[in-house]
Amino acid sequence: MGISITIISITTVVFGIAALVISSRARKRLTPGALRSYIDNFSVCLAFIVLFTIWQAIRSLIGSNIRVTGLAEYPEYIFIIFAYISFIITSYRVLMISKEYGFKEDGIRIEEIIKSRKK
Amino acid sequence: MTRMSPTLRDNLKKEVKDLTDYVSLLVVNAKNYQKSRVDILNYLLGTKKIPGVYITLNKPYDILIRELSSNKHDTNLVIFIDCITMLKAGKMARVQNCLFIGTPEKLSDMFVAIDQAVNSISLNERFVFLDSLNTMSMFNSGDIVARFTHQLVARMRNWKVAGIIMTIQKEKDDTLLNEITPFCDFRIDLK
Repeated sequence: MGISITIISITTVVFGIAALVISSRARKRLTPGALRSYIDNFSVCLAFIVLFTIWQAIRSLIGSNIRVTGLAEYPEYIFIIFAYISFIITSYRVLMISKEYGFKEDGIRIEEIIKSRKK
Repeated sequence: MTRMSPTLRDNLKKEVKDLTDYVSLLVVNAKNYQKSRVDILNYLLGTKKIPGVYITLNKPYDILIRELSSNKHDTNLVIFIDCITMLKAGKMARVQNCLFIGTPEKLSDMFVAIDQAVNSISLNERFVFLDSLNTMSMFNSGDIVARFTHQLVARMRNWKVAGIIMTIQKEKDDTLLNEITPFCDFRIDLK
């Protein structure tokens, strides 16, 4: 049971770090602007989740020999709280980007003008 | 409405024929720039009567609106992506049919904006007009502009739009033009 949890933890950490590396590579290709700031925010969220997972993985590794309770749980909570705060900021940024870059209403208006001309 | 110069009209007619989707590189000299730009807009909005996306790196949005209105074109048919106004005026809020991109260096944002704007118009005939390539190369390196244009041309083909990329012919260095010309369906030189 302990070994399988350790394997899952390590795999999750590897996936998290891989996701961070991919985001960083994506960021390098972009010029400064809204899209890059979004990736920055997303990376912060991801980083906190990865930190949370790393901490859990360490705890599960150490926990198999030594029982660590109490204080050791606090960083977990801090990481997850910051992760969710970052998610809120990132979601708000996405909302702003959609307000700026969303042209759906303009498209509908244009189609209506063209349709009314054809009648 | 101003009349289109016979040379540009004939060249366009000859090359475009009945096509609705193509990518054209329009090379003009500095003297003809204004007239050619207005002519192209007259052709797209007046003669062909198609909506589209205008990416401006030279003229601010308010001047373009004034220009189009004075030529009796419906400005509601165009979505503007303005990469110049914020250089002078600072931060600008989005207006109805125009998105202000900070500077012409923000190519990623520009690309996302073009993609969103084109896809919002779900009609068979649409245009994408990039004005102009040489201004873009003033703010970015030649390689980056060439790569951006290559990506944009590829997307224009996917979107099936009438794509027009305008640039001013330089006296000496035309490396960028030589790189870009093969991507396009045809090139019109107005000397």
